[in-house]
Amino acid sequence: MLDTILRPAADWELASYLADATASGTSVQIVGSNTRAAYGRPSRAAARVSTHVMRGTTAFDPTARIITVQGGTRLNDVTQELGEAGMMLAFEPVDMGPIYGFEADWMTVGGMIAVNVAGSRRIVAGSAADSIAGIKLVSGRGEIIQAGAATVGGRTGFDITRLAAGSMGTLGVIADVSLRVTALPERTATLVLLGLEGEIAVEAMGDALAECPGITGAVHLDQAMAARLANQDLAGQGEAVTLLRVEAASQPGLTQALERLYGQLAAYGEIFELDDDATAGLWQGLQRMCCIMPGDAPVWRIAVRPSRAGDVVRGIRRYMTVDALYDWGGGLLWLVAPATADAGASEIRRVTASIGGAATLVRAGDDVRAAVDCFEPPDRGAETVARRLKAAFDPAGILNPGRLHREF
Amino acid sequence: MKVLKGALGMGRGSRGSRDPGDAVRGLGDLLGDAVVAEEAGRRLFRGDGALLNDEPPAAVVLPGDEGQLVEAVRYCHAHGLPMVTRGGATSLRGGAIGGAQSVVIATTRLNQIIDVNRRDRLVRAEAGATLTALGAAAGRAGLRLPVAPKAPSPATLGGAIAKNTQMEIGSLSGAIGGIVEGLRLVAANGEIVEIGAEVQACGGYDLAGLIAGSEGAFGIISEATLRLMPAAPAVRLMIVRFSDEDAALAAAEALVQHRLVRGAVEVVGGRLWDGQSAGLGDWSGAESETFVLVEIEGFDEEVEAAAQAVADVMRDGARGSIEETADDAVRRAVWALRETAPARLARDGVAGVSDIVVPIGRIGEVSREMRQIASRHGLACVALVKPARGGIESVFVATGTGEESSKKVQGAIDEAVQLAGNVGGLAVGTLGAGALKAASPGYGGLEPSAFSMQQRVKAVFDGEGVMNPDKVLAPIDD
Repeated sequence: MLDTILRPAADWELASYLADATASGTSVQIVGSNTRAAYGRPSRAAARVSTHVMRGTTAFDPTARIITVQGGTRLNDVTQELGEAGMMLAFEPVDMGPIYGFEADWMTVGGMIAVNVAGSRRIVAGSAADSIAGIKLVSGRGEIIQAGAATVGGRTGFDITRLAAGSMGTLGVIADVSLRVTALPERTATLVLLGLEGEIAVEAMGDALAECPGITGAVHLDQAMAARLANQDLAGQGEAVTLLRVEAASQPGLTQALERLYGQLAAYGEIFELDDDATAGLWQGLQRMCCIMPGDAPVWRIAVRPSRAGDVVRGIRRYMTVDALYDWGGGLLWLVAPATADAGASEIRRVTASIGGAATLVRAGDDVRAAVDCFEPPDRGAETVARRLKAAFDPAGILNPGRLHREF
Repeated sequence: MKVLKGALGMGRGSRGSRDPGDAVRGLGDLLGDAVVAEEAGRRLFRGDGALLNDEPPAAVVLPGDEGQLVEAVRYCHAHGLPMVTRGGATSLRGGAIGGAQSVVIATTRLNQIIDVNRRDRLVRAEAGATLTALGAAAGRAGLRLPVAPKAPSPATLGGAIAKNTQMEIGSLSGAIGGIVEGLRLVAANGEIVEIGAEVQACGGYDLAGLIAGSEGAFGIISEATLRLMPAAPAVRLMIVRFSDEDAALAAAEALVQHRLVRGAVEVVGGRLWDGQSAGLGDWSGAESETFVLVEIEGFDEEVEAAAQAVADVMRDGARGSIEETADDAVRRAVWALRETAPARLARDGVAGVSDIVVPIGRIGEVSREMRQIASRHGLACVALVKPARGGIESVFVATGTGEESSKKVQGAIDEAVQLAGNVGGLAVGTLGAGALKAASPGYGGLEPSAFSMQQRVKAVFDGEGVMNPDKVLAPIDD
């Protein structure tokens, strides 16, 4: 079906391809490293545009705390360059590549923005969208739109840079992006609680997040998920694991934060502590989704109010057996469900409709993803706006048609 | 105070001189007491923190609930009446001011705090709730609103989202858009666009991120939900005086680069302090000085260690002793003085604020250039610099009043904005674009391609151009 694969080397070439595609009404699938081909609704495009050749760092000034890279740059190239300067991406990009069988850190920066990834650090640093300072986007019309600037703060007019984030390549192709970066934390530690029920763990994490500044990760893994942790000490416990990552700019700050947490969490059982090195390894594994095995089992991602996370998991377990990982202190659930004709969509959406939450089908076969809504349908007003925005950026509807919405 | 004359907020539908009288009377029939129609009442809504329109708006609506807001918007849309949204009117750029043809819709009475949820760390409130009230409510729940003003302010939740108020709290730096977990927007035609936190976190277009910073160009925010943070266990404010602005800037940049402080670092020109600080005792200062304000937060020992490190870095270049306080009342008084300073200067005479962001590391160079710009125009330049995000607010002050002085101030602002674009920065960060100088292609680094797309995005929400017309973006010539 895909008899044409275009690999532009520069923004003007990309713009020219897209203008031609609009003129001829040829739909195009936009790919970076293609690690997300199985995320979202399957592509029904006639041609493919790859950002593969548009790679590399355009500018990096650690003093200015901004890195500008081309859209096809691999995440591992960025993290390595930043790491050498003692810096990192603030939003801790969660890497779904491994759950689709790809190598870790293989995804491109453009792909990362298009999906608007957000890792465990979202509770303090937001998602990818919150780190975008400026962007060069090529619209479906073939216009090169430069919005924002390589500065840490401010902008003129409203923020169209944010529209690229989460748009799944349906509004434009990211030619390059300037991202705000932040210093690696000076001191870190992780506190561990064992054997808590999901609801109790969410309560413990919520208390800690409300009381103690400096917590940058709050994750609970049920017994099945915990068994897949790379940290053998934890994986071998045979119990659910609750993790709180604490970061501080100085040792006194870390010590006092930990003291406060020890006092506060005492009621939840014995507390174990992991040092800097163990913390780094553990959370890198979580960032790479080590607890979800490659394979065919459906994977769901459900955003929910933390106070309702326990109810949602219990509600779903009335219909099916799921393995559950609670991120963002309970605000995000990753569930591995049994394979069924609709990947459990009807039951899961019934539960979220009554209790709350928005569910995304992250992994399932092409036929299943074509048949069910992979993304939570927006309300009527928001859908009208989305439809009109699509028309403003891509009037001929050539960019990734059907990837995000069934109809456009 | 600068008086605005001529067309302001006319809207495309009504550009010209149509008398809005009949339509406004119909609005009164529809919404009764929620409409202020008599001139004396309308005149109260002519100005904001710095600007005053020469004529009052055609009508003012003060909706008591979302239903009334929707009715008002639907009616204005149907009758081609341009609408201007008004929150706490703290803008210095005319963002909350409408012209004689327009209807000002003020969210003052939509001020309920609907829910503060400690377990989920969220606050949900109507758009007219003040950030000060929200901050206090979060505090009572043992939490903290990251955008709470450091001194009491009438700024509202809706206004802060519309301007995308910047925040620098602890390790968190960004804008209010980053903590909006949901909102309801009444679009130009009265349709409600609801953006849920949970849906927002699950893919799709980032509509909340788009609406944050739109300055009412898309519609009127009726309520929003924000993410809260844990309260800081300890806070300490330090003030360091310098006799030389360049030395103060260099010292402040060093603090930021060495990441010595979790909290705020600001450089404040002495003129913003002078004559107003007598009641502050050791914290008073003189016009000839430049101050570095450093607010450190964290656990006690962490704060103590950081304060020591700050003092070590600053002591050499500083003039006199370094003052410190952990007293909330003193801190509030100091921040109140600083936060009201630009508006105070603007009211006192002919003054204007240029508000730009530049790459960190170029602050010293750009600040020096700002002083040269002021000098070329025969103006004084008072700096207010936030080095952690590259923010430079420059208050240009004329010695005289009158048309000539106004022109000089505007000339200096235009040059400052141009300078921002030249160094890879942008115009407009914290104060909004408003009406004083709507963004146009090339304005302060705004690329023509982005301007054109912004115009099209505006049309997505407001095809008739009746929402805050002539604000944020320069009018479309058609």
